[in-house]
Amino acid sequence: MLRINDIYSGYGEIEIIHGITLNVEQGEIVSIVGPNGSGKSTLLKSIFSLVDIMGGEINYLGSDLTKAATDQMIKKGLSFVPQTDNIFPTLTVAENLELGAYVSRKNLSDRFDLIYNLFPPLVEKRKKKAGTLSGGQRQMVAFGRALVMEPKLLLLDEPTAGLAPMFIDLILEKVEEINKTGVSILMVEQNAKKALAMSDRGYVLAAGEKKYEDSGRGLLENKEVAQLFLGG
Amino acid sequence: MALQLFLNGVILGSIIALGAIGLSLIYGILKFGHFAHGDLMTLGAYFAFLFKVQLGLPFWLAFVLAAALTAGAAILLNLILYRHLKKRDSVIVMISSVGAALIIRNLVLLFWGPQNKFYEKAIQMPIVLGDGLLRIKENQIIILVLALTLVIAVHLFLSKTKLGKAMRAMSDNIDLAQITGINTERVIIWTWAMSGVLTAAAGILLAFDTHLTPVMGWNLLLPLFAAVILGGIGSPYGAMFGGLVIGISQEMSTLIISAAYKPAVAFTIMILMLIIKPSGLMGKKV
Repeated sequence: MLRINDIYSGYGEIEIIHGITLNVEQGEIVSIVGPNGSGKSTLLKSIFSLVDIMGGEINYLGSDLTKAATDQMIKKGLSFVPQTDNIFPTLTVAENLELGAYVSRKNLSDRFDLIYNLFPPLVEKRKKKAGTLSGGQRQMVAFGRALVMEPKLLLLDEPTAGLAPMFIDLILEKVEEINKTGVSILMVEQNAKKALAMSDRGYVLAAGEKKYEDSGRGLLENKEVAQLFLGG
Repeated sequence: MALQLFLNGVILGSIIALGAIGLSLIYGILKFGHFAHGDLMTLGAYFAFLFKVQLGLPFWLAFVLAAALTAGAAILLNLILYRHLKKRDSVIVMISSVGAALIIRNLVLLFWGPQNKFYEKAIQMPIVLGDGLLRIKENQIIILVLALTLVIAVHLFLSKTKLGKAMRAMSDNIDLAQITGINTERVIIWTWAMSGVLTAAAGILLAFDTHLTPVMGWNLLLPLFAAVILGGIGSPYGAMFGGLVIGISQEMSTLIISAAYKPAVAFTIMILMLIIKPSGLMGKKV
């Protein structure tokens, strides 16, 4: 459903991604792993045109994303959860979710119910300002905002970064749960072993280039990958 | 005496609050201190003078027309000036707003001259309450009612409407607002429009309480900024609260120090807040 073809991207004059090709098929969980500074997040941001695209093309469900406006991408079922600053802190939890539905407000209450079923702790925090929640709960709000539009493909930028260990597993379980409802996932993750273990396929990046690509299990069992990127 | 000063403070404070809401939202969304805000206030007051005194329209109609014209002026400022400086350093945008302030003030001078002007020449007898404990003029009652109505309207707009929530969201986190699909350009234009209406209202009410001068808004700029910083930059609710606190403090201070130091009171509150809690009373952490 998503095809990134030989993409070059970065910030201004600085090229960070040097020609990466990647694809995500319907229903898959695909992980992008690699050391700090390898360009994982930049690659993810390229899809949403949040960085400068210098070459290559990104195709989603048959149309060119590099020319699409953000609201069009969202309408076509693409959602992005940034790594940091991914909630509106002075707005309530309910308002955060509501803004997730900014481009279309059809069947809003049904969609809210889905989110509250997925993240029950948010129910009683509905009227609390999102900025007052714990790290794990904030992440639930961030996911909720992205899921309100019922995306077909969810892009997650390090969903467990900065979370307490107990929340890391919880959030990753939720990612699998979301995937089981038919949402494809493309995520960048620091916890490479955990991410690859739950992924259908994975890509290993280093210095802005694709070094390995295989099934999640295949990458975990690859001795070279283990030694160089997964800490032995 | 104290009760009278408190009442005067509430009147001044609600005027400051009206101006500060827009200033705070612009600060929150566009990340710069809009120094032409005070002069937009002046412009609004003079527009109302044009309609009420020069063209003889009823006050309410002059009020509405002046607010609409000031909103238009604010949108125009954004269109011909600030929009082009979006990617520049916020200091450059701020300095350009000082330039805009000077242009507006001189246009006011050009069209209406430097003399003080009045909406009404007749002297109003104050209503005396509680054996002379409290004196309030009819105009001041109108100011309080209008200011309160507008503040409630702004609250309903920001908390209940899609556009209002989008404004608060953009003030919180403009990048996230963008990837949420909010049409940020459109919301920015509406923010200018709303700020224009509110600053015009503030200017008109201030002139309604006293008189019009070309520097009336510029003189109120410091209290406006003090209110914004006290409440927390980007927080419209903070600005409302901050406006009231600044207004009341300025008036009440005359109990102990000379009235000449009123602006210093606003300045002192602002500096103290910046030292003790730079994020303001209701702002997000900086």
